[in-house]
Parts: sequence; structure tokens; C-alpha cells
Amino acid sequence: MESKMFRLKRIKSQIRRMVPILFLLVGLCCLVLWKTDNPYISEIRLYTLEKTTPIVDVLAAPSRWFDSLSEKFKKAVFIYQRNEELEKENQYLRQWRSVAIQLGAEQQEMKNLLNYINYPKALSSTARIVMDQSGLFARGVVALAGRADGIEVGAIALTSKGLFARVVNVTEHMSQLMPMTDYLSRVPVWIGQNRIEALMVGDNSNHPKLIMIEDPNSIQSGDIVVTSGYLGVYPSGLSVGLVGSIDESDIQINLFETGEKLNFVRLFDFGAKDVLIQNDCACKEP
Amino acid sequence: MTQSFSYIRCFQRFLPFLLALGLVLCNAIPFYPVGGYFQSIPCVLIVIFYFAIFHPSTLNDFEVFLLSILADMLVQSPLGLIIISYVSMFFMAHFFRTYLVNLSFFKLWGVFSLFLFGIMSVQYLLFCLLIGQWMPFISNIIGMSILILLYPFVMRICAAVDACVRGRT
Repeated sequence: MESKMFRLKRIKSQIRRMVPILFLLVGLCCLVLWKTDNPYISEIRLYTLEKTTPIVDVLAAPSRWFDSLSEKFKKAVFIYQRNEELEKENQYLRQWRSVAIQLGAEQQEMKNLLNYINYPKALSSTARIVMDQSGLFARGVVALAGRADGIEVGAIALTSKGLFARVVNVTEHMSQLMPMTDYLSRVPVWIGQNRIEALMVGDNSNHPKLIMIEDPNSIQSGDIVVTSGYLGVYPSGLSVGLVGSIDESDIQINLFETGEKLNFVRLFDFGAKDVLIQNDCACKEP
Repeated sequence: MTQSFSYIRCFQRFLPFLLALGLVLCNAIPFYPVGGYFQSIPCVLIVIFYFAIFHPSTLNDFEVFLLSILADMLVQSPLGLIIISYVSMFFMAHFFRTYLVNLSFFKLWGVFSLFLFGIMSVQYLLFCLLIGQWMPFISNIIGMSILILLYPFVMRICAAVDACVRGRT
């Protein structure tokens, strides 16, 4: 009887020792499931995010307070210097104002003459960033606006500096954004005044790279990078950044908006959801 | 009186788990200190390391597994990477427990750095294998360095929580 109890205890302790290995195997299985793009995984992830967002939002209150305080402090320090700069800029801009008014009137007249159809107005809403999903291997944020606010998958997030991210998942009250710095991000862009086509790919750093460049030799450091609108996921003409360092293997981009100290974004729905669905269907066709 | 005492004991029992849970949730807070973009740092690895060595019954393998699943759900990296890192940290620290428990603070700090380097390297290799391309390793090194520098502070908090769990003040 005693030996049976002893044997049972030994088996129990051996099973107990195997438990971490079992958990490691579960982790590996999760990796395989993630790799196969299992829809259940993404649904569970979204559900967890939606449930934890209010808790994180409450926990983030001191951080927001600290951020606003540091921002106020910074502003107070640089306010005099900025004021002088702005006065100079204002004088310069006044000269251009009259030119702009004249050109605007001319453009309106031309449009009337040509019966020009305007680009459809995008639905927009301003959303607060409530969660930062960035880790060592990926970038991502969660904004507090969802389907209830008219946001759909494919909507783009802009800030005052320029393009920031794209909505990749959406629930009723929150949306998951994929910044341009994420390793999965691919943005078709035009470079410089010659509109050289390229694809900007994220690599989890603040400086995405350019690939599939139409004419790499004519790109210069400091050239402006804007979205080309190719494939229709991003509308054309949105400012992305400037060409940074150029070496033999890489051309890096200095983004206008890297996501630093970002509290709010404006989400615009240009109807890219239809494009994404079409692309998805095209991929699935045999 | 007895019931309230049992509630307190129960709370004390789950204090390490709550500390780790708080750190996992705080990891998702968008916090940008003065100077630039802040990458989330998994401080919870230090908590796991501490309790796996000094008090494994209060933060056991199952609780570590639950925490890792939650952390994996909150971070937008491939699902399973954090599970592997947290469980590996617990497993390694627990496996060498009898040896590590007698080490001095600085030696333990060194061992943690070594474990962290191993786990991060495995994570990095798995990640690159999954996406099929090499990513810059520099962000990993920065993350690891910050975590190693934070080690004494988090260790101090863990020691305070441990003292509370053991009923000492």
C-alpha cells in the first residue's frame, strides 16, 4: 500500500515537472497557428483587447497626466524662441497669402469651366490612443473609435504631421492600428518631384526602407515621400516623410510621424475596405 | 475576524500574481518619457525570475502561463513568442533554483542578464524564422539593456511583496 502511494507520488511529481515543457509546446503551437493566419486567434486577440482596453485606459491616466505636464514644461521653455520664429514666418507668409487667394480664385474658375468632380469626402473622427501594443518585434496602437463611430478596416490614421497608420482590425468601440514602422507595413509611395514609384516597407525601426524602386539613381537625400495611391489602400498625395540616408543597399525614410508622444489621431475612411475585400477575393481565386 | 483574516491571507497569496498582472497591463500603456519613443519593456520577466527562485509557490508555472497568454494577446507580435519567453524564464530559474538561491545579489543580476540574453536571442531567431527575413537586432539590445538596468528596482519591489506574502513587514 505504501509503495503504491510512493509510486503515485513519484508519477505526480514527474508530471508536475513536465508541465513547463507542456506550456512551451503550447507556445510553439500558438506560433504555428499565428503563422497559418487562423481567424480564431485574431478574434480571441480582439476580444481580449476590447475587454482590457478600459482597464488600460484607467491605468494610463497618470501617464497621460505626466505626458501633458512634460509637454507643458517643454512648451514653456521654448515659447520665446518659437514666438520669434513664428513672427518671422508670419511676415513671410503674409506675402504669399495674397498670391494664394489669387490662385484659389483662378483654380475655382478653372474647375467651374471644366466641370471638375471633387474627390469624395472621407468620413473622419478623432480618436484617443489608449493602448500601445508595440513590443520588441512589432509596432501597433489601439485607438478608442470603432464601428460605432463609422470606422472600418482600411481607414487611415493621420496626425498634424502626416500619415501615421492604417486600421487593420476593428471592433464596435476600438480599432487596432498598424503604424508604417511595423514590419508588416507596405505603403506604395512617390518620391520627389519626378514621382519615382517605390514601396516603403517597415522594419520596426523609425526609419522604414524603400524597395522595388523605379529609378534608384535619381533619388536624392531630402526628397519628399508621399503616398502614390497605387492599389487604392492609401489615397494619393499624403505626406509620409523625407528621404534620409542613402547607401548601396538601403534607402531609409525619415518619417514625419513616428508615433512619439501621440495622444490623438484622426481616422479617415476613404472606403479602402472595398479595395481590401476585392484584393482578398482576387487572392483566393484559383 | 477569522474571515477577514483569511481574506487578507488570500490577498497576500495572490500579491505576486497581481504585481505581475499590473506590470503586464502597464506594458500596454502608451507612455513616452521626455526624449522620444519608448519601447515597452517586459519588467514582468524580473518578477518571474525572482519568484521562481525565492518563492515558487506564490507565482507558480500555471500563473506564469496565464500571464504570458494575456501579455501575448496585448502585444502585436506573433502569438506564442511571449509565452515561450515567460515560461522559459520560469523554467530555467526554477531548474537552477537550488544553485541560484544562495548567490549574492550581483551574481544573480549577472545570471538574470545571461538568461535574458538567451531568451531574447531565441525569441529573435523564432521571429525572424516566422517572418522569413532578418530584422535589426539593435532594438532587442536596447530593450535588454533597459531591463537589466531596471533589475535592482524591480527586485526591490519583489522583495517587499515577498516579505508581505511571508507575513513580515
